[in-house]
Amino acid sequence: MLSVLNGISHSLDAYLILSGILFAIGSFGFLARRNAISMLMAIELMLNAVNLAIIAFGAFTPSLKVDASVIALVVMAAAAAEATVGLAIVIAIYRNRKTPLVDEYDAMRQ
Amino acid sequence: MYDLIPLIPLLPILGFAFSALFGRRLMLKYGRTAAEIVPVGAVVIVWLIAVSVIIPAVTHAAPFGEAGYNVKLWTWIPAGGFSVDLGFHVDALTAVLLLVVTTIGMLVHIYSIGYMAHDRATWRFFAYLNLFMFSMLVLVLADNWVLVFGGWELVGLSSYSLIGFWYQKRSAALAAKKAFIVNRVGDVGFALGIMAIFVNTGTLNIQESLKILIEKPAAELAIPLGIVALLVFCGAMGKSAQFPLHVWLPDAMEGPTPVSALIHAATMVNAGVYLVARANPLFSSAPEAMVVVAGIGIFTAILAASIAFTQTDIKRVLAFSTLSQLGYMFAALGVGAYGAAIFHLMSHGFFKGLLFLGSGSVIHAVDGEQDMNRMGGLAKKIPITHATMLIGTIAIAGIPPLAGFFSKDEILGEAFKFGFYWVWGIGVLVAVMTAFYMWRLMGKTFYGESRVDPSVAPKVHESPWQMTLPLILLAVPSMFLGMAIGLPLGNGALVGWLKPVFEESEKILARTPTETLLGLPIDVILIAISVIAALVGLITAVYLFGIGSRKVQQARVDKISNANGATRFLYRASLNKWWFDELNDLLFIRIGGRVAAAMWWFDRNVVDGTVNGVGTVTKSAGGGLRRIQTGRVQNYALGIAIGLIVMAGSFLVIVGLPR
Amino acid sequence: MTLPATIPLLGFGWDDVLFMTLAGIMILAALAVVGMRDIIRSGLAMIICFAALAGIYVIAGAPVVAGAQVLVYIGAISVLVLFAIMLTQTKDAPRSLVFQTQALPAAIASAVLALLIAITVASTDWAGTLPRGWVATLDSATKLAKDLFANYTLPFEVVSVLLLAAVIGGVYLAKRERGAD
Repeated sequence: MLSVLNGISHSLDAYLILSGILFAIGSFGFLARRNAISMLMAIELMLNAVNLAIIAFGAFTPSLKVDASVIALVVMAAAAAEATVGLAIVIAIYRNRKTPLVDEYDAMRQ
Repeated sequence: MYDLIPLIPLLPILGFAFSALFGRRLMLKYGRTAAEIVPVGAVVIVWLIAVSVIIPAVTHAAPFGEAGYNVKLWTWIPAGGFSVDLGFHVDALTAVLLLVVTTIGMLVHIYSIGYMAHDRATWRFFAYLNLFMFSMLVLVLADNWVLVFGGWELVGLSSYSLIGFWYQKRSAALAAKKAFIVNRVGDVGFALGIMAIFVNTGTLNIQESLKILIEKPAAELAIPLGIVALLVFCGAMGKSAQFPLHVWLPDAMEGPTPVSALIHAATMVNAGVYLVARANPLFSSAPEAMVVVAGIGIFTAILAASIAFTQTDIKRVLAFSTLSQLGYMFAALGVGAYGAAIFHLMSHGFFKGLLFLGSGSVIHAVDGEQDMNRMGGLAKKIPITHATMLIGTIAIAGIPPLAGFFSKDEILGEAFKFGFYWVWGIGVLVAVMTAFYMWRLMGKTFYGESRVDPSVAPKVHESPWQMTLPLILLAVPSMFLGMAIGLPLGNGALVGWLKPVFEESEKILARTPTETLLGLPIDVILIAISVIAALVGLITAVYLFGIGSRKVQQARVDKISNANGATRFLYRASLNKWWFDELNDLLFIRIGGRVAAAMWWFDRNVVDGTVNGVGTVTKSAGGGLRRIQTGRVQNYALGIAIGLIVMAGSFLVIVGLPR
Repeated sequence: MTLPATIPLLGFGWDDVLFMTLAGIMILAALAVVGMRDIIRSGLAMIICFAALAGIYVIAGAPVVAGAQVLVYIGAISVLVLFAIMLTQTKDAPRSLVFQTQALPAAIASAVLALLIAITVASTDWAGTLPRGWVATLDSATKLAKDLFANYTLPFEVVSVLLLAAVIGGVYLAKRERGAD
């Protein structure tokens, strides 16, 4: 029964399913956490899930191997930019609202 | 002097503005004379201007000519093909009305100085009087229907203000409201009539539209002439208090007496007569409408005369008398005797104004008492009032050679000559009744034993000169006007004046009067009958209320009022004004009220219910949906996520798995 | 001594063991990130998660990306996040309620999402990719660098501008306004 696990590290499906699980966990975190920073961390998880999928595709498609790596690096740069700006926004809002909890940011309700 | 025509309405409105703005302060600071001088002065100047305009106008001198003189001021409402010019038209008919309105208006203003000497708000009274003068003059002078209607409504407004002048008195406020509302009923008809005229002719100028109306073939008219005429007549009925819109006039006597004299006897109520006379070609072209006018006129005449028999309020007797005389005028209009109607309008204006002012003088003398049962024996105490009112009474009764005889006789004569025998017959009967109730008024007021309240009796006094002077000045035309412009009979000066105005109608009607009866000239017979009728009425009244001992007569009166059967019914009917107020109450307050309540219920529950229901559904739907809009980003994000999952899942389900 | 090619008894290779270990660590750490009450611990769990992921990258034959992952995520973003946590954490912040009221629907939605991805992946024929059992070759940093500065010059420059903009924006947003406390 365990033989299905044989060579799992050389299976595209395994990487992709792992990426999907990581993405689902990230989306849960984004939807369920109250703290704005927790939500940003969840976003990072989702970005990593996407990166994992990209790397996996690159690993199993020799002609795209280098391109996949470049795309992954670009995604990382974008993620870094996103984290910088996102956290700055959280801090700015925190200064105004005195709370990091997003369910108290309900200005859109009015 | 025709350049001054615009000043005629302008001065009173300036006087109104001045009194309304500064009257109160002037009166408090410098006394009532200061407040009175401007409005009264304005009207006196207007009278002078008017006389200078009237004389050339009635003699057809240049620039008036036979067609009249037009003063175009400016274009009031320009709107594409539709335009209303603000302008005046002065011809002989206008001039006659101007004469009546400005003369009586001026005398009433002077009279009011004395009559209102003890009122706290004299300034307000004069402001209203000036406003009324302005409205009436605009109505008379206007050269287009819209301006006439404007004056028409303003007259109604100022009448409302003046009837309700003592607004602290509930009955006065109610009477003002009643007058206003009943007038509105007629005004709706008039407004529709003006619209009908415009639809038919495309112009609102009076002269032009009348010309088009009678020249256009009947088939080309969108609205038949008969209907147009009746709609216009509706307005006339309201303003001139013709049956069934007559109910407001008696109640309007709640206003100060000068108002009753000016508005509700001499001028405003004549507006309807003027209107029909002004539109005479229209009416002449619609014979069926003419019959309606004549019928309603003569019916009002006899109805009002019968009510006047038993009223005890001196002013109400005069009010019903006014109704009756107006009925005469409409009867005259209805038979096509426009000249006679205007003649009667004029003479009635003077003698009825006189009688009203005289009654005011009586009321003033007995300290505000209006019930004739509490007067009597006043002849010696207030001789000038008595003498002038006697002249007025003889004039209205139709005894030659006073004014009323000529004008009334002309109406009856023309009715007979043109074949309206029923109008003539009822007219003669009304003449008998008129003489009777007028002498009843005189007898109860001036003769017999004094029944004045003992506390008031010693204070009975003749009125000040401001009040007696107008009486004397009005007594003069009441005596001589008929002779001056009514002789020779049927071809007097007035006929010559008004000939161009009614020429068109004469052509349309084209009839030849009967000239002889039983071999004698018809005028002689008719005059004899009229005079006999008036004398019969007078003598009967003298027999019952006359100049002799009171006790015998009282017994005779009691005998009639206590009789049984038909006499009793007639007596009670007259006393209760034929129950018209009760009928209106039943029709419009009880039944109309029920209908209105039902409609209100329908409106509230069904119409409003539907509207509110839609609102409630929308509101609760919004309230429900509002819960979804939490304003929290994560709720929205969850929505996106679920949406994506559903889309992807349904894609998989529908398209199937790839393998 | 050399290790056997496959693990005795279990019957699969060392690389498989390594992959499964790292994948397990990563998933557990990810769950800790979204599930921990204490947000500091969430941040620390995130570092572990990223480190495990870097290991998986190496197994997938992308050591350069793995290096970048360690540098960027563990070295920069995690530290940034930890700083942000320390800046915004107040003592009276309610710790008991870390989840929204919609946590249960969110969990169900996420589970369904994972299931959907798994089903789709499993049932898709990845035409053009190498079959199971293909051993990835390590990419060379030289080749990647050449490619990056030859074929991908424009994206590289655009990304650098993006980073510059993010830096300026972050500074501007987080800067205390003058006069404000």
